[in-house]
Amino acid sequence: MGWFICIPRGADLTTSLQSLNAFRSTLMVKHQIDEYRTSESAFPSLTTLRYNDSIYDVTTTDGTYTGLGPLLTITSSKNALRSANAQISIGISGIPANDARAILYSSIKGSTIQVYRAFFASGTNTPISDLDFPQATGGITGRFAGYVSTYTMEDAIDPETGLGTVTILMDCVPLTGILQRLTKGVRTNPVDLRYLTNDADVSFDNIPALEEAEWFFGGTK
Amino acid sequence: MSFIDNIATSVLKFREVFNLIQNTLGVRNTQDTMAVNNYQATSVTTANIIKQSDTVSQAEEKRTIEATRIQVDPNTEYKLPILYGRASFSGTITDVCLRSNGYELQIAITLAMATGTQIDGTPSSYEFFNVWVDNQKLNFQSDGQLAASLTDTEGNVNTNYANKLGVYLYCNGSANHILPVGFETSGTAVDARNVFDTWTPEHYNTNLIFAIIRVAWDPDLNLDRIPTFKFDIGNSLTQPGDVLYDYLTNDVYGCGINVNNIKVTSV
Repeated sequence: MGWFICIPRGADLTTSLQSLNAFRSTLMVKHQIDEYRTSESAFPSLTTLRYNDSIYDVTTTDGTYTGLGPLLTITSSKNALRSANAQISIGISGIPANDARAILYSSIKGSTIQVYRAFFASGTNTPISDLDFPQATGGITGRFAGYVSTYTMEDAIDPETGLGTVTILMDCVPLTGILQRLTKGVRTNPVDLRYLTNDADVSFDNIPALEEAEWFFGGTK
Repeated sequence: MSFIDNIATSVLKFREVFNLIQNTLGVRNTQDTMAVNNYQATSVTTANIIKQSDTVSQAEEKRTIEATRIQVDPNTEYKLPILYGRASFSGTITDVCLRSNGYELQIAITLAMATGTQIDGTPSSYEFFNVWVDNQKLNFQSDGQLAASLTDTEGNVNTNYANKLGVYLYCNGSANHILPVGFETSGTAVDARNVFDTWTPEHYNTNLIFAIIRVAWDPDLNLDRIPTFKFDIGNSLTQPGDVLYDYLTNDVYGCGINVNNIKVTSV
């Protein structure tokens, strides 16, 4: 007598993390820079950088995420039911000194950051495609989406090779943080009105000077 | 005693009387002379004061004593509101200047931002209903610019304010003078840059609703300071659909949603 497994029509087999003896997770960063330049004279272009914190490159339908291993550090993020302005920091070390120009000449500040977590079965380098995990499409789940608010660079010299390297540390704010900072409308100052009119309108230029000014109404001093 | 002696005695007495009279006259003349001299000195002093008062510096000094020091508190973070429908409101002072040797104060008050179009593309239009000066309604002359009188809350009309105040309302730029309701035909529209003394052609006041106030110095009418103003203005954007559409699509004060993403033909 044989055993038959009945599968309800319409249901799919999925891989549960509990069913795996071992698995590996990797953080993947999709970094989109609107104005990326390799040198001062290079024409800016929209460039998307993809990297992950494992030592292997990870290929997804979105593209290949270069494995930076321990050279990439990402601080933990915080989950909250309410909208929270939780920031994360992303650090990339070991950047060759010659490539530091690309960072200096590109618009890192304001560039878009998306961080994902991917799960891999033991011995594979492809995300588990049918992972039974909430909001994990193709074995990848979203973790953070935001912008680079500020960044710092540090120089270092490898004593063995004598070569210089650069470390970049990017502070990222989530989209909700950007929305909280958003101010709509025009304020009564020359910066706002000139921005609105491409520097053509000087109607508010005198406002800052009014604070220190005095007039003698009914005569002159 | 001879005749001659008698004559001599008479002459002597006459001399004594004469001398007495002469002395008396002398004293009086001296006193009169001194009085005249003093009077003349006083007159000279008075003349000097009058003369000094006639100089420009003396006149300026006199006016300085009478003048009121005006200071304003500008707010560079004041976010301009949006006017839909009709409302009475005040704005914020964005420029001040003096003209006519300091006897006319000019104030620019920015009230709001101009709105966009209705759903059918009709631009916003504005009406200038009333303006209150220190809670008194200003009644315009036929030119729609200068005051003819003020009416207080009890209905008393004070014509002493005639030609003492001028109010010019502009909507959507310095070139768009909005005359008060009832004065659209009799009134005279004038560019704001020709009213405000220190403004240049680059004072466009783009997309702004603002007013220029002219105040003639008159302490007796309490016009030696900046009065409070409140403007009663109406915007043609009154329908909820038009207002919502404008607020959703405007990329300066609204959401900046592309018009192609809003279905306006049906709910």
